[in-house]
Amino acid sequence: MDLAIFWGRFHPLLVHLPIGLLIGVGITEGMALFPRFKDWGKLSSVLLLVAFVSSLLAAWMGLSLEHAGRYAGDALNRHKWMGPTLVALTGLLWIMKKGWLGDLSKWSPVGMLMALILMTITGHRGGELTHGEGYLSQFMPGSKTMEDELIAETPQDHDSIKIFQDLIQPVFEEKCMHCHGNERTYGGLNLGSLAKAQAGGLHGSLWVRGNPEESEIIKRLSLQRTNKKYMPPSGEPLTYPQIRLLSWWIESGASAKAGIPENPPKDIMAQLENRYGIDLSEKSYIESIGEKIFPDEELIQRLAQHGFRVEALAQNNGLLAVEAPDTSWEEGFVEVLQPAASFITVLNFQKYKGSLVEIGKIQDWPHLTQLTLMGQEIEIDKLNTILKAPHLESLNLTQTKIKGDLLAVLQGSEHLKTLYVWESSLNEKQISELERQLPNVELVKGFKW
Amino acid sequence: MSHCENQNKNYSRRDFLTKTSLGLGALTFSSFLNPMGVLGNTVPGDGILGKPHFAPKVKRIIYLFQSGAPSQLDLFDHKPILQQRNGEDLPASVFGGQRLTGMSGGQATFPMAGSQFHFSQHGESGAWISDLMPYTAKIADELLFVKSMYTEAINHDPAITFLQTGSQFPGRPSIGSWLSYGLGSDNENLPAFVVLVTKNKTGQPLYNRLWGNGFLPPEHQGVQFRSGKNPVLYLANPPGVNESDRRRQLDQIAKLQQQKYDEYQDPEILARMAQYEMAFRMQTSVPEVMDVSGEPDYIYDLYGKDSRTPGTFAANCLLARRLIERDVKFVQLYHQGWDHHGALPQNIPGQCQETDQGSAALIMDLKQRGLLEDTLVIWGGEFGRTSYSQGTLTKTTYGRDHHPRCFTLFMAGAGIKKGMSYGRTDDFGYNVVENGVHVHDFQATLMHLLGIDHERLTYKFQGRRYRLTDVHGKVVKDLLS
Repeated sequence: MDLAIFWGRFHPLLVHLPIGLLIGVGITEGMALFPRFKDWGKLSSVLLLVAFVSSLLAAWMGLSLEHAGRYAGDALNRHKWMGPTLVALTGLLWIMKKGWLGDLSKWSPVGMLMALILMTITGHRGGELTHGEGYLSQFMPGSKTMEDELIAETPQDHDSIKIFQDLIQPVFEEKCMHCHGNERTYGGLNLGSLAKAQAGGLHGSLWVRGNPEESEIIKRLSLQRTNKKYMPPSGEPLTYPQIRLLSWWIESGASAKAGIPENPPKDIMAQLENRYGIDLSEKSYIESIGEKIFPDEELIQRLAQHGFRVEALAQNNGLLAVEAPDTSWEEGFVEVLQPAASFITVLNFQKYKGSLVEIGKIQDWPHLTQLTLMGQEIEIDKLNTILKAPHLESLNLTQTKIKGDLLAVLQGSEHLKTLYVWESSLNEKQISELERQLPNVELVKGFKW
Repeated sequence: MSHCENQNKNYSRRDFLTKTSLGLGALTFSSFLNPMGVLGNTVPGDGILGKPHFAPKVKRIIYLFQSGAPSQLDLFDHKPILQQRNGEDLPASVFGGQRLTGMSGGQATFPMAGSQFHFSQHGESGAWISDLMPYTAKIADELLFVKSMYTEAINHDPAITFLQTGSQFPGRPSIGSWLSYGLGSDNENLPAFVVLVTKNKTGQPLYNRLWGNGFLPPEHQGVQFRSGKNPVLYLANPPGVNESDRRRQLDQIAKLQQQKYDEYQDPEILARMAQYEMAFRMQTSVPEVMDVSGEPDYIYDLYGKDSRTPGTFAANCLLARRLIERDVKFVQLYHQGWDHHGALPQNIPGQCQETDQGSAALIMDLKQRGLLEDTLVIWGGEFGRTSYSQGTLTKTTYGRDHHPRCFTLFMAGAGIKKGMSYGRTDDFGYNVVENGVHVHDFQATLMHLLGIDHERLTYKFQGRRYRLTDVHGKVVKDLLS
């Protein structure tokens, strides 16, 4: 069979000889219609004989090639039946030309015309098999090129991304569909759509759901490049991240509907971010909230009048970073801070000189993420509300005198990431207790070599 | 609001220059008008952007610049192959026809030079650090190593200029100046951009244009604080002039300037008046920040014994913390002497000793005070060094030439991942093979951390809009936490 394939591959080469000869016959016969070139007609029979023999050979080669399994589908079938028909017609024409069929020979010009038409169609079908459908028309003025289509298909919103359709299919399109597409289906495989891909090729199905290691496609993609079965046999190979993405998709069920889950494996997450700009990492609270909330200018002015230093985080984020003045408590702080509390995300009392008791009277710190009480004296139970701010991520108690049970107030906090207790009044035992009870919180205790 | 004012300032300044029609003469006149421009910015939060483009992770930066280019191959980028094949010629395929400097390009052989220093992995992150940096090794889990930095310049001055200004040619504003211009100052008594240079070091020269404002208004240039009696040159009152004399003098000058301002409405005059006032306030604020006598002994122990000697790198690290505590936006340290073309194994230990403990201590000191919540510390040089020996490789010594194709820097602090090594170089430590970070990418990432879209902080000069990253730079999102 291998030898048959070897000869079979000469089909596309040899097939051009009868094509040329048949066109030649068309020319000689046509010219012979003019009396001056009557002699040209004598050439026809010998040309037809050679065309017949060579086309017979080419057809045999073509049929051998079919067994190689590279081509399949309707396009092949049509070409497969038209070819031999043309061979038979050529033979018939030769016999007619020889005059062995008597009166019937007068139909030979009609037969000739039919042969030329059939040859054109057969040749075109054959060309489509090797070069792909639309090869001729692709750059015809006014036609839609591949690039236009690709651009139109790039996904925009990452909630609506389908792994196969948006991330895997384009890779197939770029690197596989030249041979395994709607136009050409080498190995009987068409990767043009998920349904067609699922149907597999001559070697069976492409993947085993949930088991990338056993999946033919992953095996073929990850063979040694020198291996005969390695895919793609020529052209740009798939990159490791592309294979990894495919294998992850197969592992998670190879579903058409599969979108991007919340917690994909880390390497997939990194790839989604790096290659497709899909950022799945946990956003800091500030980034997730800020765009909707902007305090009015008057509020900021009032804080500033009381000596608070106020900064809005950014042009697109109205949350406030506020630093308390280096004065002692003034009447009216609560009245100023209470309306601001719902906009403050960073609050710093480091420079403040006075009692913090009043702060506890302020209810609701919905967006507070960073609180610095450095160098202050605090009574925990008086500061219950602010210490229990729902999104507090960082609490700085460096050099702070702490009265009361810190652990009790922090125990329930979900988002606290960092707690600074260096040079605070907490003793070692208290600190190690905090460390034990708050395993997800980084305790900064000060640093010595 | 302030945004609009600054817009006016740009136009008026240009109008002023155009109106006077003096061309270059007007330029010099303008800098003559504003000699105190050197003394930093005035009003807090008066950056051209008004507010950052998006919520910043970082408010302040300390850049520990290791001038001369430390050898990544002897400090952080561990290459066992170089040690195994020590002395063999570096394969030609590795060079790939890249340009070499004139200093080693003519060598007949390029023997691979394995580091003579022992590497081991540190911290939970398993970062490779050589024995030369024991203190840095101890804080490995706080650090983010970028091993795939690369630059375009092959010699020191263009390379430093490139890192600091985004261009190899002198004349563009330094990073700190861009930040001062974009974000303004957070401390009305100190400049937004302060520079500290280790005293008594030799090596590749440092020019003050490295912390220059380029074409930005002069109040944005970096101000160098020196150790010793006069931290800022020409700031103290001359002998015989006391504070009240100075005050009265400034008040009188202010009246004259106000008159001129009323006449011309030129905002440059206001800027100049503000700079005089700033200088006056700095007469108090600078001695205060430079006075480290109140620092407890255990802090000196943290930074190492060098830190008791003013002007050393360790002492400058301690000062950097004090400046950061006072909301200086950008503190730039320079430490010269890393240019080890020859006798590297003999010379590099001293450099490490001078910088290792101070740098690591600074990071941990910032951390224990909670300052690392919004401060970023950067440690690194202007390029890397070659994996082949410059000059003869012997059993005891080798040298390394300039190598722009890869180098390592590390960062610690706000907004970035920690305990991570990013990027990879090949087994010969010659080319970047994974996740290369170009200097402009690094700069874009810094800007991003500060809440600035690097493509949107621009300054129009000579008919073109300039930015720190020129027309390049991509934020390296992988580095962000």
